[in-house]
Amino acid sequence: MTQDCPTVFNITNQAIGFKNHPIFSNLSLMIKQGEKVAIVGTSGSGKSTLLNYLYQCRSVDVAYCPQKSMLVDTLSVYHNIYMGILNQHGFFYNFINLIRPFPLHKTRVEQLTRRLGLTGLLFKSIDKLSGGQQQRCAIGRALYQQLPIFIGDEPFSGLDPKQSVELLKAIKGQHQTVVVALHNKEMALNQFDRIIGIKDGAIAFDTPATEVSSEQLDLIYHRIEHSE
Amino acid sequence: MITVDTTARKYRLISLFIASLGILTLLMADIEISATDPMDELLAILAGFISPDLSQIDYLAEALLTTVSFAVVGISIAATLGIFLAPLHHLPLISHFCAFIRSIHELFWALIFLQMFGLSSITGVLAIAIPYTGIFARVYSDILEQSPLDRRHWINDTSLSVWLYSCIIPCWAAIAQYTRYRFECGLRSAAILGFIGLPTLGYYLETAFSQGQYNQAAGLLLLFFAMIATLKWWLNIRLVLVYLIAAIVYLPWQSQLEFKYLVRFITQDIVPQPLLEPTLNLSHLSQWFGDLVSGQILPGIGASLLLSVSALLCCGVIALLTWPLASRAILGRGYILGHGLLIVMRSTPEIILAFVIMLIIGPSMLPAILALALHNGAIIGYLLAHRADKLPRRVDRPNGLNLWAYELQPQIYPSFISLIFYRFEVILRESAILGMLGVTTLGFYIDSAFEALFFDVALILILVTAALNMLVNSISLRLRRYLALDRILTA
Repeated sequence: MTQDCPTVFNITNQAIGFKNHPIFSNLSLMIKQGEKVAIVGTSGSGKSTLLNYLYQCRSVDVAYCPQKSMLVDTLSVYHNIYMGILNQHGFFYNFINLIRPFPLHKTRVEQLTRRLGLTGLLFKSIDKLSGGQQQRCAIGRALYQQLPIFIGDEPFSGLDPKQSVELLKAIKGQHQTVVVALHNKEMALNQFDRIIGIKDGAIAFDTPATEVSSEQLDLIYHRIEHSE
Repeated sequence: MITVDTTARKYRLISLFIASLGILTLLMADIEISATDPMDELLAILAGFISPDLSQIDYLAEALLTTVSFAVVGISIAATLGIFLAPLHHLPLISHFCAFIRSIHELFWALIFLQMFGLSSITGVLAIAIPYTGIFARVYSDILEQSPLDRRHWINDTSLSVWLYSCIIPCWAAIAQYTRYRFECGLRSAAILGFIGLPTLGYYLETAFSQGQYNQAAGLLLLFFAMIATLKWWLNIRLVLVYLIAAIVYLPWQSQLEFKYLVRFITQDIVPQPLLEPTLNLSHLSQWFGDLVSGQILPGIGASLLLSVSALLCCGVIALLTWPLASRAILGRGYILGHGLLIVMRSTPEIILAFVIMLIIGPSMLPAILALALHNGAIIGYLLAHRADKLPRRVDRPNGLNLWAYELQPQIYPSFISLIFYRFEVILRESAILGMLGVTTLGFYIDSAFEALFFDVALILILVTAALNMLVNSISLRLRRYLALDRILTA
């Protein structure tokens, strides 16, 4: 299906990570438009580094959702979601919106918070929300950007499986290309087209989700059980 | 209707309250520019900085060595006493005693000892040692409090080695770091003791500024900055004992102390005059005291609070405006300029700043407000920039002004409010001594009483100043706890 689509990421023989201490010494990876890719691997295997790198490659087209939600605690859900589009407006427009939210964005963000299950929390500050609510707000910040590519670094941690699947559907519905690092084996197998396994700074396997063997997944997940 | 329930709103309300109070006091304060040619004077002072000159000053080396020696001996005594008082600081008697001795400013202690020991080294050393003992005792006790070991292990065991091993050694790094920071403050204190005549840098600074010798004044100030900037190279913790011995040997210890004068000072001079009359006349006493309250104490307290609250507002504004200039996250490499500016501003003692600003714009409350605001605003700005740069960064963070408005400023605002509350205590304490430059705060009446040799009045006024400081500190502490601000700074 995605065979003839244009390539969004094309990395060949790249060293990625710190300058003198690369995490991936020689990485090649191609992701095409429309692909839904799950990245699996143990903590510290280099998933975040890889996602970071992908973001830097096309920061203009990518809505990014980092590992720890990294929201601004004292500000409201509204402002945290609006922060996704700061670069799309001038500073004074943004500054006025900080003091007195524009009705246009207020309506839009409110609709978004309903879809995210954050109804009524629009003007509650992040530090007054539960961990799960914060996580949904972080996803909201990415969704509000309306960009073609979504990159998420464990965006569903702290959410129950049902909520996670619903949110992932919302993400897939709005982005052509989705690249997400995951810990959830079921979700990786059932919701994605392609699974990339990462181990010790290299790609251990890269296959369509339907063809992933249990040995391959065990290679990754066995390690997780031991390391966690 | 959607309810607004954000932490930002809480801080907005606190800020609005401080700002309205500040604007109200600014409207009431005397803030005129009375000098006829402020620009001329400013240019003359700036010209002094272009060609600083130290060659004309006699006794420069002596002034430098005396400043350092006062600080070394005073801080060493204070740190030693502080470390022994710290484990007892939980006793109300000790903590109140420490609060009392630190609520009286170094310069006021110096004025008291001046009457007893004259312009001698004892006066300078005691003036630093006493208030800093109170400061060290409290902060060391806070540090020990956070020690991983349970305090109960040693509180019942009085043996010195248990105390040493279980408390002091685990906290040594924190104690050494704090003491080093306070030594820098001690240097500033020693320098300004020159304002009441002790032969430290401040003495020569005041002389040079008063006589319009701006080249010399600039040279002295730059020398002072250099001394503080190079502190980390010459203040080696292992050499402290060497410095201490050298300082004790260097300082002249003979004083004009005569025992009978000392006795007279304690038994007669500082006792309220109506009490010394042969027959105690109560109506006379109450009239004397009433005059003092209505003529000096109440106006003095009023002016001190007026000055402090106005300065607090300006200090907050300066801190908010300057911290982004010293933040690497916002300015990149350009932060180094703002960083340098803030260091110079915070290294200059308030009384010197106030003195220089007064030379430029003439006497009113404005120089004192500006001096307190610049010095304390720079300290807060510096700390905020440091905090902002340590915040975790997300890869897709905005940049420039957007970063400032949406990410950094909201995140460091709680620290800002917390620092503002803490700094109010410092500002109030300093506001008193700015009275020595003519602003009618309590310090003005204290200074005048000393000049007129009304030591009984001076002592009562000093006690009132101390009581005011202690009262405001305890209110501020309660308020900080109520607003849950203390957690923010330790987090």
